[in-house]
Amino acid sequence: MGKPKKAPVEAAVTAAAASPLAEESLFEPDQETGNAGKNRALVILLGGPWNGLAIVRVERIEIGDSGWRVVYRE
Amino acid sequence: MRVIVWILLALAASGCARAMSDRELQRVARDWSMVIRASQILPVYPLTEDLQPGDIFLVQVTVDEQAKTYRERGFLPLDNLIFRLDPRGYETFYRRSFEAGDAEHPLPKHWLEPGKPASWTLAPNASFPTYAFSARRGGGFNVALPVQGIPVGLSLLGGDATQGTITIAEARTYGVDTISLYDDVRQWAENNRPFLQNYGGDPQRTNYLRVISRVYITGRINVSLQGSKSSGGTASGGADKPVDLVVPNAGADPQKNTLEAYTSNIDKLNAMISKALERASGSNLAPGGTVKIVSASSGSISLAEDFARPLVIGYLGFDMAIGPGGVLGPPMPTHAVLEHGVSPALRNDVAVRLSSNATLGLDYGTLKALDNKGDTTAKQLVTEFDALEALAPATYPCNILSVRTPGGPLMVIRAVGSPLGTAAGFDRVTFYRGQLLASIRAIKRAQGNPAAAVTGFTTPGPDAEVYLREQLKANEVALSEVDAGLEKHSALLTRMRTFLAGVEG
Repeated sequence: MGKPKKAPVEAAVTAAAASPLAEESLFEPDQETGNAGKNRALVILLGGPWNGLAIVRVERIEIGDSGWRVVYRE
Repeated sequence: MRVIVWILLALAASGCARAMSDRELQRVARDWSMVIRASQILPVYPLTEDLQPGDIFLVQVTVDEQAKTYRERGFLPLDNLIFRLDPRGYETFYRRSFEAGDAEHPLPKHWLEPGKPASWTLAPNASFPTYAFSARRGGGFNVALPVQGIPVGLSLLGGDATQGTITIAEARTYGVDTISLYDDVRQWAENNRPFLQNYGGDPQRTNYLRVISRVYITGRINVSLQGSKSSGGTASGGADKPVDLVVPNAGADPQKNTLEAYTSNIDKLNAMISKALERASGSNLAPGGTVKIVSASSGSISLAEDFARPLVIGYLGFDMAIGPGGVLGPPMPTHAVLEHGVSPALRNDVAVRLSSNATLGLDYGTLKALDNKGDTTAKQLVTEFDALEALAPATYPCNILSVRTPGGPLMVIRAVGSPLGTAAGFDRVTFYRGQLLASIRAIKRAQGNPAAAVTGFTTPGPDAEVYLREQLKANEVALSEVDAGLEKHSALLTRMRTFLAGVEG
């Protein structure tokens, strides 16, 4: 009888919390259809709720719920 | 001394006459506008052919001042046209009802056909009620209207009219739905943001765009006047108006109660009016339309005033407040703004406030960049803004909620009591404020979606609704506290905007 193995998800969370490069994400949906509108939505996010984050990357999601997704380090 | 007194009296009399003339002109405008307003549309004064859906006006007067002017004058001047938009929704809007042309025959040109007999015949009809007015005790009527049929008819009745009616006839209307026009305006606004941002962001005074969505046009105005005694043949007209007898009515004098006599009498009137016009203007280019007598008797007369080219008499539309950075607020009906004092408010629109917060942060960033280049004024302003850092607390006073992935559940991303982070200076304020605004927006979005998942609740339901209401309230309280702190420094915000407006390249 060996030690019970940790569940994979639990192990991943523990590893992420221990790592200085642990990443989190946020998603802000919008209904913008034009390039100018999408860019403006991003500027608003970067100039406010996201301006204090250590941003790793920003992605534009177009399929399904459209909007901007940011990946940042805690 | 006597000469001086006479001169003063003459000047005073001249001033009084001018003041009375101004008052009379204002009365004409107001009375006419009240007739149009009675039909729940907004009056155009003076009447014009050149107003159409898609016209965008800039309004720089507060809602309160507009309502006051509207009450006093009866109409609002449409004097600041900034763009004429071509609405794209006409074809869809009229697809199943009216033949609204196509790309090669766009509206309104397809219906307008200026100067042609078929002008506006394809457009939808509109009908207005008949408005009655009565004579004042000292002469004249209790309304003043810019309709030539009234003075002509009054002259024909020997100034003895006691009451009258006016009918806006042969009216047409056309317009487009608000949603498609709103989309067109937003698209236009995105391409013209540098222009619009000049008019947004002043906390003391909000500017608006007024967008016309529907207009009402008339080709004829019927006027009927009733008098108390018979009129003679000594009438005079103010413009070249041929008289046309359509319905022979019996006169008071039995000896003249024949069609021939009646026709002869009208011919004399025609000749007199024609001569009067020649004396008045020397041409047939009289303003307004052509007045025709429809019917007449000893005690009444009915006239029809046809406009050679139909004119717009009223409109409907919506107002959009211009927010910081040129962002537009939601469309509010102009009728509600003018008649009921409804303000196209920006302050409660979370998206606009989020934009305003970002503009604040970007302006502060510009100040810091100028400070790094050695600008002393910018340096001073940055110092003062950084002193506001304490407006953001050390720890979150409420939970901050958001979604982490598309379609994911709403969850707490910053728990109450957790540290705010490492942002410093005024950046800390815009970051904190931005998080609150984004959290409020996310909560409201979840509240508006019955299927939205909320972490901690297996299914959406009353418990989740109560939880969201509590979280929203806590977020709004926190936001109002930081906003109250910012409002105490509104003078500093104005100084920054004034400074940045004067900075070039």
